[in-house]
Amino acid sequence: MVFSTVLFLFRFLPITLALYYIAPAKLKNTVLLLCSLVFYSWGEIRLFPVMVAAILINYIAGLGIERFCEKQAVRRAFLLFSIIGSLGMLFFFKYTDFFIQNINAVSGASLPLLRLTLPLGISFYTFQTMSYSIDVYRGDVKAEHNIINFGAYVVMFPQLIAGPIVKYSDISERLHVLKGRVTLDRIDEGISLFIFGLAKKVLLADGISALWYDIIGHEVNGVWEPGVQLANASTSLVWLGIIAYALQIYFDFSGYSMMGIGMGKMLGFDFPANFNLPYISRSITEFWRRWHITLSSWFKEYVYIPLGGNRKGLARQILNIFIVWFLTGFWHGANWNFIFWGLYFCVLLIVEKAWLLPYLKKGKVWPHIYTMFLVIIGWALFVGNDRGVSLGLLFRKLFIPSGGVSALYFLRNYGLLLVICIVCATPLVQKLYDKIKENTLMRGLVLSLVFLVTIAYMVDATNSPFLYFRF
Amino acid sequence: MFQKLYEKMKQFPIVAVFFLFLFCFTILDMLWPKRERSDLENRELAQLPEFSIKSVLAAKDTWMSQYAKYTQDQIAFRDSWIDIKSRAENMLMKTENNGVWLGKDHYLFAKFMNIGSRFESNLNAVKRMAERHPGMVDVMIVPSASNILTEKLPWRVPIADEDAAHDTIAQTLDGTARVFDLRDTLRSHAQEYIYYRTDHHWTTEGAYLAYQEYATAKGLVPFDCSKASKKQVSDFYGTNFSKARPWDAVADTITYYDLPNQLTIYSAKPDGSETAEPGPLYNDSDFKTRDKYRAFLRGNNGYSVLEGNGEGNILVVKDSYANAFIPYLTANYKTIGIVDFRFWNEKIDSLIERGNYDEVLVLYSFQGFMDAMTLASKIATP
Repeated sequence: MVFSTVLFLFRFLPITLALYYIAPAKLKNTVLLLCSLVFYSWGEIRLFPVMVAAILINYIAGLGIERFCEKQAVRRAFLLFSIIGSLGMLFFFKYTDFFIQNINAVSGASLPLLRLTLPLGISFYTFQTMSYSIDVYRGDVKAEHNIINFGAYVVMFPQLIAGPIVKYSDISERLHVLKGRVTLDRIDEGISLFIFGLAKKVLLADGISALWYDIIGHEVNGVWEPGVQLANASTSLVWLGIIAYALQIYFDFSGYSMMGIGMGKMLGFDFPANFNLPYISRSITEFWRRWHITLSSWFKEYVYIPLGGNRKGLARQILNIFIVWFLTGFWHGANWNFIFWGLYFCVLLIVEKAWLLPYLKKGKVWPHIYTMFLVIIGWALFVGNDRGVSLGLLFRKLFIPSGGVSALYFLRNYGLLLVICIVCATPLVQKLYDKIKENTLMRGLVLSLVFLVTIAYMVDATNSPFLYFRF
Repeated sequence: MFQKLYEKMKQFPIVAVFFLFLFCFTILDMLWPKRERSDLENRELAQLPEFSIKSVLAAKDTWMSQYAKYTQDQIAFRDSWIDIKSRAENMLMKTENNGVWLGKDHYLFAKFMNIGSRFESNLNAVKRMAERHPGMVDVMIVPSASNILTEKLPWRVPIADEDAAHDTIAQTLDGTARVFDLRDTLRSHAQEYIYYRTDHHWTTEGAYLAYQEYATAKGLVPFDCSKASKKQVSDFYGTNFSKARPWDAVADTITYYDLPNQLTIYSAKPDGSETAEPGPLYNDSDFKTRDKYRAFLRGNNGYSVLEGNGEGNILVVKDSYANAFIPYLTANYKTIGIVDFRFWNEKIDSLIERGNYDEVLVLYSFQGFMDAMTLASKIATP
């Protein structure tokens, strides 16, 4: 189920919230589990067993690790069972075809592709469940004995499909608060977050995405609309397009996270923040502290530090950074361009760490330009494998000036929306809202207006799944 | 308990208002009367899908996704929501909405940035047909409104190079078929009402200009408009309006000549047999609906035959653009066969034989020709 649909907003959400609020304290997690399973199955009922397996494997692993606290080997076996189970599913569904393609390319064989459907959110919830088993193994959290509580954690609908990646330790406490879990101040905050998140997705991301799709084409109701095509676009238009894509992916993804966090609050949970205005960063290092925060911290906590982090000498540290960024890239998609994208940031981060960072800290304007330029080049790498794009052509278009369809019409048509998007990517709007917020009436009016316009756009939208659904 | 809740809610009025809206609107939406179709959008709306285990477990287009579509299509106040969006887009100073360019003087144009990939193959198929039937085939590919009314387009639209395509048509068919290149004629009348503002079709007046050129070239005595009974239907909002739904659109007026000629529509049944349905040239009741252009030739039908007042038999291979043009042909031909290959599965040579046609006119709008999926396979080979 997609958040930005009538079905979700005016069926699933009110019914779920009503059941959840009415349910006695003891049954709240059960209601949450059942409703979340409905949410998951709505899109993917054929892959329901995958979800059940993910819950069972990690639930059993957690119990096993706790039960055999004396026997290191058995504990380790249970941890391996959990990690191999989770990663195994992820690899099987997400990466099998990629490996087959590469084996075919290298050896000249022609093994058939499996063409599996990627289960919704698998990249996110396998990381969540692994955090649980590893934390139990390390003794950081207690194992969950109640399978309903554990199941509710794994399939919890607000962040199930596209994050934030919530570690079990982030919410285990609230999951066991039965009385008074739901508080009005949380709901109040959650409503604002949800409405602004939805608006980010529907008004900003979907609105500005049309510019990029005008260039590369996209699918409307099953029919491919070709657009002006990359080959016909002028260099200035391609730059405008990739800037629009950068805005789209930010608002799409951060909008989803914001809605997730907001609905988490409405249910009485505090999820970790996932984005903190990444496009105002003054270095790539800072960018990655502000973009998809829960993914970066997951890799830091469960890969980088266990590998030794920066404690084993410079050479080892560079290797560790390399491994983390290779995995980060690969996590985003089973394709070489995502791996290049990860390694591209790896190189930039090492350069900054070794030499550039002090200069960036001194600079005022140029660090912003430097960061945005490199981030946008990163998005070009990222999007290079999409339908209607070829990486080589995209980079030739960006860096070898060429004529073609001019950017003027697009500037005229999307100009105001571009300005609004850019302003919304800065702290300005937040500051303004913080001022307004003091006055409840004003705040209510702003929220109502944004909500109503968002619904109007949502009703008239053709189809607009979230970009990160594919990851 | 309620007293306590009320006291608490007073501290959080936004929570109260939000939930009040969310729950009330949900209930209202569930009770809201369901519609078969939307006149505003000119399309059938999704209906409550029939539940079955099979459709739930289907690989594609599951019951759940159909249900999602149903709630989306049937939302309470759907038309008003769409209106709000259109106004908001206007405030964003957008010059397009839902794939339609919002031109000057309330003209709407289909967003058209690329020559479709089928253009070449369709053109070659026409050439092969013309080579098989030398001297018989005339081709009239009508320029899009956006190719003629260029002054009305939004500023600097990245429009496809339709002119080059018209040149290609003339070059490719040179010597095998007579090509009516209407660009000069239509452009010289660009100030007149030759294309609808809200619809993608040309007007009856625009079609007449093309017909005049056709009749002159063929040495025919043209249809005399002054002698026919001319009727007008106002308040027409066409297909481009249905897509873009600009809140400030200006309605079109349809002109038509009420002719007594009989039109017989053939329908193929699954068992291979055919039914013939004789009737008038226009379906008057369609003029009263939203989709008024459908009244011409009683809609887009697979194969139909119009009885004319002239001599000889002509077969028109066409899309809906021809529907405004064909009534004029009654002045010049005895039998006018009309085939729309989107809805008729028979090869052209078989049709020519069936109606004993001695002329073929290929009459498409440029964009219809460029996108025609079923044309090439029906005409390229006998």
